[in-house]
Amino acid sequence: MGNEVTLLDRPTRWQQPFGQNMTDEVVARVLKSEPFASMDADNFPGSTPLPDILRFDARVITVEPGHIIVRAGEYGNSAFSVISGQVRVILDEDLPDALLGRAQAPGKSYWNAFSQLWRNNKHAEARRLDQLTTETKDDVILVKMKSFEQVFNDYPTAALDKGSLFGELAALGRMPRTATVVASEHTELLEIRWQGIREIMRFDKDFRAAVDTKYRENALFQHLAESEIFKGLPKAAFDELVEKAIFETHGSFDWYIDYKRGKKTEPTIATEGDYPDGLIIVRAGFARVSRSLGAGDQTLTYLGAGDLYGLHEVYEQGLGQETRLETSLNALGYVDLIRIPLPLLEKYVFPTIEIPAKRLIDNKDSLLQDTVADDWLLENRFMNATQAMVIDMDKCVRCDDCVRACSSTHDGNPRFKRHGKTYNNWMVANACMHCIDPVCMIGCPTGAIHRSSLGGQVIINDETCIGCGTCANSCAYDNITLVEIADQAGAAVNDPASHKPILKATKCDLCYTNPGGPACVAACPHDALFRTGFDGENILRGS
Amino acid sequence: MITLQTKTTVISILAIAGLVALYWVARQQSLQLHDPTILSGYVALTVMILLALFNTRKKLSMIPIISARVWLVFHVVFGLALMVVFGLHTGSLWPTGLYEQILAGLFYLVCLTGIAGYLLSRSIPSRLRHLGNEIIFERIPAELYEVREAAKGHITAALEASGNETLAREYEESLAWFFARPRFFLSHVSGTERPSAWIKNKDTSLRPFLSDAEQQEFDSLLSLMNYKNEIDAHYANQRLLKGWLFLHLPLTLALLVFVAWHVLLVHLYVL
Repeated sequence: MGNEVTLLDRPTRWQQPFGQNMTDEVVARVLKSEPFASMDADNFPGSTPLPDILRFDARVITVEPGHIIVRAGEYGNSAFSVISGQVRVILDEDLPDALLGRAQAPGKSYWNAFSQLWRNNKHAEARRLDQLTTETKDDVILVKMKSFEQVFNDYPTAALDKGSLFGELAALGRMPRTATVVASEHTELLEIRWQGIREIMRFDKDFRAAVDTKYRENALFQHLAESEIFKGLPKAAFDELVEKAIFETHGSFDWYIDYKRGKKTEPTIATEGDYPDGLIIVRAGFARVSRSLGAGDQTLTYLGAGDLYGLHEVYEQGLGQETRLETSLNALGYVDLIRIPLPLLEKYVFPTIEIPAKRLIDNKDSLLQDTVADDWLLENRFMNATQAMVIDMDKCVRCDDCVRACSSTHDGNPRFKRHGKTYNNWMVANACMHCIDPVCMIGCPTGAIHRSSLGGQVIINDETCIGCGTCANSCAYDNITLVEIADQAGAAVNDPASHKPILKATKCDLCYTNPGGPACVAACPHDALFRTGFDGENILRGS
Repeated sequence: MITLQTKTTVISILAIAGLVALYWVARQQSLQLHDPTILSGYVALTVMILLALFNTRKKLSMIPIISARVWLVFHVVFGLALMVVFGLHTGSLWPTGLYEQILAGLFYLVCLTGIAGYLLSRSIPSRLRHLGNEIIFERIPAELYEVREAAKGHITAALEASGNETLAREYEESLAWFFARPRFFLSHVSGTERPSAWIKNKDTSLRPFLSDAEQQEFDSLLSLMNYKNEIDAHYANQRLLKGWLFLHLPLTLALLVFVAWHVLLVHLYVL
């Protein structure tokens, strides 16, 4: 195509509003409802006024009785505020799937997948520009819960009325929803994507405080209730635990910035030999457990969300034995902890539990080569992976069938590089790992990078991506690539104002729309490539 | 979940059972004075087509039509079985007619290249891994260019620092040859130490004639030579890993064409 260039206005944040129905009248009406009515608009800067946050980062949706608004276990990128009407939170997590009417993945049919053989564009990174410039459609798909009145009778529920906010913790924490919420009457809701909530929290102190308090009241209870050692405790015990639990944060939430600069900070949380004053529960992030060995430290294991540290030592302390911490604990970049003080454990927990036989220190008998494997995993922060692409280089014949398969399922463009960090015969290739904590989502101004609500895969909406590169810069593993797009004829697409190319962020989407899952795995003839997380036994051990 | 090992076992049992069944039916046909080659011929043709479909499967990776790893197991096991079927069909190792000899020759070549490819794909990956750095084949020309430019930089630096032409002359006479393109192909394929010995020889023969300033640049140059040697090893081994398919696939295509003509002739003149 030579030097031909097509011009396309560079996409900007708020070019495509979250919803199409946020007219001046609707925004004005929402501003009169709580919690927005109590907010001081003067606290918001001129570049990000509250009305504009609502106009571009929110949309009004109307639901009828029985409509499921969020489902427990699904990922979501937005929170909801009740403008009028009422919804009910179903407090039982074990609702049958049939009741929840789970939506089907927006997958390709077999024919659509097959027809990519001739439909794929022969030009690299070609896009249909009319699709990039069309306005987004409101794609709220609501499913009605069967016999919802019966469900309200049979299961414990809590009502949320006008002014209530829900779903913000899951959206901000990039975590699955913890409960199912169903409309109990004709209700008008304001759905705000997490970028909007983040902005409001930045500029409204009271809103931020309310979200923090809600965390302590709801999510902390949930965290403790999920832990095996607190199962069966009476409500009063939980209330006291929730009230007296201590929150700790070690390291930086933006750990990936330092990490990418080569600073692998691992702040100390507890040191071997210290007095055990409480039980530590990991709430989010990761921490390394180690012990001193010779002139260095031996990694014993790592802890992730829900894992406990110091249980045996604190228990023995409770029994009156003179005990010290057997291991050290360090934050792997960033970790959120809950510390339960010893007196509370003695009062409520120790009388009811059976202490597990396996102690963290027991891992000291691992072979040193396995310790090195663990170290390598943690040094490279791969414990964050849920779907890392691991290639056995002793089997890989470098045929690139995986790359070709990826390319043929993504309009002729591969979405990973068969290259990466290597430990012995294992290569962790540069393919999106669909992280437990996807830091790439932090700061995306349009919400283009998000978790799929069904599989939890981290995916990018090409239409709303503005190519700012925030996600690519944040990804600690260099698994996101910015590409210059072309039109259908292969001509470069430039911004008329700056004459610079229009960029889009691209990465592995785990072929989430493809029948049969990741094409790379299915295409490897030598059984060399697979997708895996590293929780449980480290597969790199013993290699 | 069924493991690949289980699937391999099942496919192998199927292949053996198929061979036994074919042998038994062919024997029955012989005993009844029927010609068993028609049956064995069609079985061979069917298996051949199925084996050839493996390449088509690779191009259809977007649809789940059995994973490629299972296809490969099928390809290898039934490929071996096909050699037995071929033996049953021809009744000898080398047929008499010219056309049949071409056909048999092609068949043996396809089998040989296939077996060689399989053995290469089992042995070379591990060798590549132990070379150290992983180098993508397509990036080798770029890597070579970068190494060559860096080498020239050290030669120039040595010349400027010492005023002596020793290294520059050596570069002109032999190192330029080494850095120009991948070298020592056969040595790298066979795994001999000749390339390393060549580099070591350069070190021992040149060093006594270099000034301190030149030695510093020469040390860097030696590192580059060792890295270039690694690139050469990757090139040779990866070339081999990719190259055998360039024999196997055209030979398979030629075999299929000859087989099609053979089937046509049999139907026209024999049946």
